[in-house]
Amino acid sequence: MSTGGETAELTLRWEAGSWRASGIGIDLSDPDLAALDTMIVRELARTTRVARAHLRFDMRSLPMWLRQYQAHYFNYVLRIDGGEHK
Amino acid sequence: MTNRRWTSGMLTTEDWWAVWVGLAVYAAALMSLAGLDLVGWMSRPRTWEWTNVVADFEWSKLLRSSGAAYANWHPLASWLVTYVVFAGLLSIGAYFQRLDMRRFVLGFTAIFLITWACWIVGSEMHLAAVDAVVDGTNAYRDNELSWGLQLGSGAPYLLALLTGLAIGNFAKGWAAKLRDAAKPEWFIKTAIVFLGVNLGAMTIEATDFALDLILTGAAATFVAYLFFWPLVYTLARRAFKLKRDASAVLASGISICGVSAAIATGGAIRARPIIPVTVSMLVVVFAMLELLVLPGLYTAFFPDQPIVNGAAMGMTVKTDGADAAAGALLDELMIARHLQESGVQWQAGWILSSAVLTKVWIDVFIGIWTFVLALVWVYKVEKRPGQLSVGPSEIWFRFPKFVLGYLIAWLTFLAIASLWPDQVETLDAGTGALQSPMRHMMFMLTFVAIGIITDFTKLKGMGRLAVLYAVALAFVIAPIAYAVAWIFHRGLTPPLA
Repeated sequence: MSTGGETAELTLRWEAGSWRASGIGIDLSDPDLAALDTMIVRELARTTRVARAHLRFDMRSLPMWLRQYQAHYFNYVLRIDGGEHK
Repeated sequence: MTNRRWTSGMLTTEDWWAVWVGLAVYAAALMSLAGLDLVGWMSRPRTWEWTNVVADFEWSKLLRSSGAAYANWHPLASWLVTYVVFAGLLSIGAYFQRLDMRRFVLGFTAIFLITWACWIVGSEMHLAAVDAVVDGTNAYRDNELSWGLQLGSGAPYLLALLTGLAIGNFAKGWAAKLRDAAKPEWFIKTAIVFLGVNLGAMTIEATDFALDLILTGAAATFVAYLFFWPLVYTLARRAFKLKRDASAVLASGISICGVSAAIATGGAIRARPIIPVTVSMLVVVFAMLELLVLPGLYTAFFPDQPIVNGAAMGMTVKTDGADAAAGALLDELMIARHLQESGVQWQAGWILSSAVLTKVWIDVFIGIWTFVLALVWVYKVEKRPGQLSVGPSEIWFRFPKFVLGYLIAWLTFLAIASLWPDQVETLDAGTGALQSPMRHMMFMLTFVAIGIITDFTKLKGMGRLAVLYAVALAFVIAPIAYAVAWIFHRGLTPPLA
């Protein structure tokens, strides 16, 4: 658990029509990814002192037959301590 | 199963395992430089005539080993070693990819048997023999054939494809069981690493021609990214009223490199995975249609433009598997037709290489393209600069790793041949099993596997998307691709065999 460090590592999945982010003690989901980002920023700002959250997509969310074509979907970084979320 | 470091996936993805398997076999083949033939056990089918075989059956009429050091082996022994070695290498990869091992081994064994049955049957003279003198003999006339399709080595490919399609569409229960081992992308990427060795040998024989193919392949990249993509995206938005995310994913799938581009673009614009999954199903089915139609079409209508046809194929047919398979089929059909009509045989592999090189160029830039697209989406579409950022590591994660194997095989072959010119003959002979029967077998496995995973009923319910795909393919991609290939390659023909 990285509550006082710079970056939180979260795993992002696509499950039953919703995005789900989990890791460092949080588990949030929403059908809209932008809304989920907002929830993550709020939750991490409230419970930790991390500056960034690094979200990494779990490829197991894609069908097995599809993974042979491309082994990466996406990763991205959310800033926790700035902008309109704070 | 997330990508964190630059080494992520090295042991867990098909892409990397194509590199490991391809280079492991290549390293074994290079031992020929030390006087050891470690790959000559590879089995290969002979061309046979059925009345002769039925009258006096011998396995040696159907199969033989590749290397002189293994000439005394029983044909079934070399075939069995071929199975054990490739099933073993691919099973190691499957284990690290955490596939269900029981299903993989059983599935691969079935696909291997189907592949070889098609290869042997497709090598029967009535299907394959061409009425022309090759190496001083005319097998067609010598065997007094009353009829023949004269498809050359394209006959086993067509048979493998049709058999795979029959399983995928008429024996769906069986196809589902084989699906864990039906890995056309893994098989074709391994074959493309082997093709790197071929390219090395071809570069030595015809350096200027090879360089011309390599450089003009780069032009295809600009066409795919800067012409096709904006045109198809605009068509999807304006004429078909698709949403921005679906238009972007579909434009990439149709214009660039098929399924891998659709997934990469879906990720770059943070689309719900259902969008690239749906587009991918469409791409797989259309790629199969292109593979079925285009090689025959180009051979029939443009028989004197082999390299134009190959390069056009590379720009038109999506997914690496379907493109390389279409290139291989085109290579065999065009060589057979030219031999039949002129009595002159073109060297095998050049038409295929023009298709594959064009595609590899396009593949290489998918990471950069989608990185740019991701930035455009963050800054211009979602308008969230500062809150959300995307790292350049995304470029590496999306880079097709099998290209590294292809380049390593090609450049090491060239380096050895340049540093020790007296070893070229040994090098060429030592890698012969890899350049021909092993590469052909991986292509054959691809043809069977791609047929098994293609289910034409998936087109149901895709009305508007399927129409857009067909319109874009027929009126944007195919004609522009052919025109560009014509500009760069018109009149070019492969060296004579």
